[in-house]
Amino acid sequence: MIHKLYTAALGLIMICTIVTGIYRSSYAQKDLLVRNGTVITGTGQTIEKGSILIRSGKIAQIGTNIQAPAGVPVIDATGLYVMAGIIDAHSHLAQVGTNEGTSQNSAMVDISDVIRPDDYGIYLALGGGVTAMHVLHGSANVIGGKDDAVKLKWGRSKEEMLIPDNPEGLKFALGENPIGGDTRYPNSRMGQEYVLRSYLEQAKQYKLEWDTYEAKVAGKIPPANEYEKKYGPVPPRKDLQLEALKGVLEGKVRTHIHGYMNQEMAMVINVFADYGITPTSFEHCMETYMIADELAKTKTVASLFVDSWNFKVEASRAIPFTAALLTERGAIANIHSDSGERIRRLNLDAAKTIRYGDTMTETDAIKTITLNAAIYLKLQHRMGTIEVGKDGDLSIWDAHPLSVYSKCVKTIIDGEVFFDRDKAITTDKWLKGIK
Amino acid sequence: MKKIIHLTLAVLIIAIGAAPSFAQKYALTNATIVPVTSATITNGTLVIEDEKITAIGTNVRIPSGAETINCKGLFIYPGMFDPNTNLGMSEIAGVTQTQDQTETGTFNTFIKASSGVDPNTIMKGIARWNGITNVISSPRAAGPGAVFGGQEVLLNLGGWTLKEMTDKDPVAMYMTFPTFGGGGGRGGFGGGQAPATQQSQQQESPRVRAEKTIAIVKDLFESTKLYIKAKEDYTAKKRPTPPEIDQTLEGLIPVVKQEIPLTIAVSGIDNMREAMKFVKETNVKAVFYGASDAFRIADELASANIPIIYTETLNTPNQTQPYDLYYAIPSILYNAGVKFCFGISSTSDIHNLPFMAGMSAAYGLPKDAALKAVTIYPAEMYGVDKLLGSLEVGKLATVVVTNGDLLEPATKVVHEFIRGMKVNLADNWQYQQYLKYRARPIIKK
Repeated sequence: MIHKLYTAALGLIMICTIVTGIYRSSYAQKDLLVRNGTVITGTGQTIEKGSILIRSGKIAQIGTNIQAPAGVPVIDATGLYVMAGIIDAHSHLAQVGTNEGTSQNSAMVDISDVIRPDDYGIYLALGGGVTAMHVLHGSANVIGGKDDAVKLKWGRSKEEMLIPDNPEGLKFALGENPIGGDTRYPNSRMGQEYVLRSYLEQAKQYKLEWDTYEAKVAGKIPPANEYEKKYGPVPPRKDLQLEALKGVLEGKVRTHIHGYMNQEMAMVINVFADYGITPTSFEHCMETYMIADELAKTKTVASLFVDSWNFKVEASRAIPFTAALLTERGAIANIHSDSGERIRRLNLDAAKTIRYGDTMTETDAIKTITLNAAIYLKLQHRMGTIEVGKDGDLSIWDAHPLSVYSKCVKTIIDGEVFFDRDKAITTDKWLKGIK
Repeated sequence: MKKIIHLTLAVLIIAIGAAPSFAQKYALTNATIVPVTSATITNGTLVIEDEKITAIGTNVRIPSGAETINCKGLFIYPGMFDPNTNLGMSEIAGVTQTQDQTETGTFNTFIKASSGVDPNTIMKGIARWNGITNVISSPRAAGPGAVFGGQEVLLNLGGWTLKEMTDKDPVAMYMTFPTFGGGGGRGGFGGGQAPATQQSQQQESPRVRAEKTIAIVKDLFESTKLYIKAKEDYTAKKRPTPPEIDQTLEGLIPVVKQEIPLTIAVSGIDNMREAMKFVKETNVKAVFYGASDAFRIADELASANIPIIYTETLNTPNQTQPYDLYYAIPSILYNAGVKFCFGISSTSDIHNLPFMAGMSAAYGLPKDAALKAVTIYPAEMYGVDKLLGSLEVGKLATVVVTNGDLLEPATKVVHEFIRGMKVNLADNWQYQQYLKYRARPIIKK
């Protein structure tokens, strides 16, 4: 009897497993044809009645008359607009904890350890056409923690959300936020420069020790003494606080520097130059319009609030014209949210860059929330525009996405639909439910 | 003598040459005119004489001496109006010294926003850049027990001095409604408590305290009526002496006489129902500000005929709410027949007013209602629709000329007139910074 029960239970489990498997494989469909929409490629091209074929999560074909291969589902985008998925270069969504602010240097911590894939904010961001975001450490200390780039695969695990070939990045912070008050050094921008320089100096020494060790292992440097001759070189002690900074000096780790005022950002450019490196991006960077040429020269991306300002002293000289001015002078600007609310309307923040200034085109505006954010992440080979070979990350809108009257109706990541307004619980449906 | 005349003439000429004349005539021709309260006119002309609009249409006579501005390809709208800000009293949010909108005290009916507004606030040019021409600047009631914040002032953003900027003072009275319970809702306002001693606060429930507060307010209203009567009796020589001046009651006179509305900051269903009861019993004109959860009792608000300043567009829904809730609420209010307008929740975000309205239109609100909710609706709610809110002959010439839809973020304001005076849009600190750093020579090294 018990044996029979076991058999039945096992059978049931097997059936469940198979059904789940079938369901899962159909759910994880990564082939898709989006047909007959106005396709804004982000490269300056607009294709009327355009179609995009995604195979195995990658854009395989773009054109005007693509037939769906057998078994490939089709989204009819007639009357709709299709653009690349929006990338938010600065977010703190999906994080359990933002700051390890107890140390001047917390480069040993990593945001990927605290990513929370069930944050409702992810779903809200999908509803605004966002497909990927950069989640960063906070700005409590001069040298913060490591960051991560994730795709907003709502309902999936953290592992499925992390972008595989994402280069490591490290957060730095200047100005009002990392000023420790009476409790901890530094207490001024001068002290912040010193902290930055002293840790870079330590990292330089640390790198030298490791480089020497590795050269000895490779036989490029002779052993230093009899002991090393006999037993081989002794590896230096691992220092997790300096490890990420070593990567920074090697140019392998992206650097994202929270800054508001022009002088603190110019300071970082100068300090970094002493170590032969350049900053990857400045964050918020309200006053970059004052040092546009310097950013153009170092190819440092300005990651901006478009028009948020005056909430504190260091934000009181911000201007919404910064994106236009930087673009005019050959620097790269992207518009970020740094907010669970703004992330839902980045398309409109991008549109504002046209209002504020005389030079931004629609393509320029769209780039501020797509390609330029991908360049910032050094992931432009896979994201940021609708081009063959890139990830199948798309947002579909019921009007031009730079229009205030548009809303996102579908958000597609790696060829899978993660937001569909037709299936979402909208306010209409919700009200009918509660009445 | 001759010399003196020459000198006088010279001075006069210099004076005329130096200051732009206030009284001017303009003809804005070949434009798409969106009057808001009537049908859109294509290829139309709008005439401004002195402070007012004197003609609108396709076949209008341009008065002699008028400066003609060809608006081919452009659109003409009335200026936008945000009826609850702290403009001129609030600058940098994080710096206490720049936050001057809140006075201590409980029944500050005598406090005047017009005494605190800086006519040279940096926000003026920034708001005008986006077509916002009028605001109400409002004093706040804060702290435990605070009820009346004070008298609100209607400003135009064109004047050079506060006197020139003042369109109506007072235009309303600000009140924080006491909390009866049920919580204030997310991002809501209100939460005032009854003035009570530490001991009684521990003993009394919020409802009892709130009821006591409302009793005091009603008592003040009754006293004001008697005060008005005593003043009238003195004027009619029915009593020998005027009543002793009472500043608290003075402030309430226009409220009790229904000359100005009471802006009631209130949130949450329970509190709004109590506030509706209060409005009905005291028979004051009222506008609800904040009004979280108003969409849940929209029918009640509509039948009570109470309008709302909606400030929640940029709230973030929580996990129990639909993803588009705060974008869609205006359409719920509209469908239920609630009169409402849009308001920003922080003065430094005032430039976002048009986009908040536009976003609601993407989520169910008719486009024309979205436009009305930043122009004529707030004017009606504050009883100044004879002056503002639409393009009509006889109204103040507060006019915005754009290169596209007024509520679109990519649209630019091209010309602007406030009370017939042409606005220098470049008088915007942020734009001046743009020009300054644009002119920086490009560095080679």
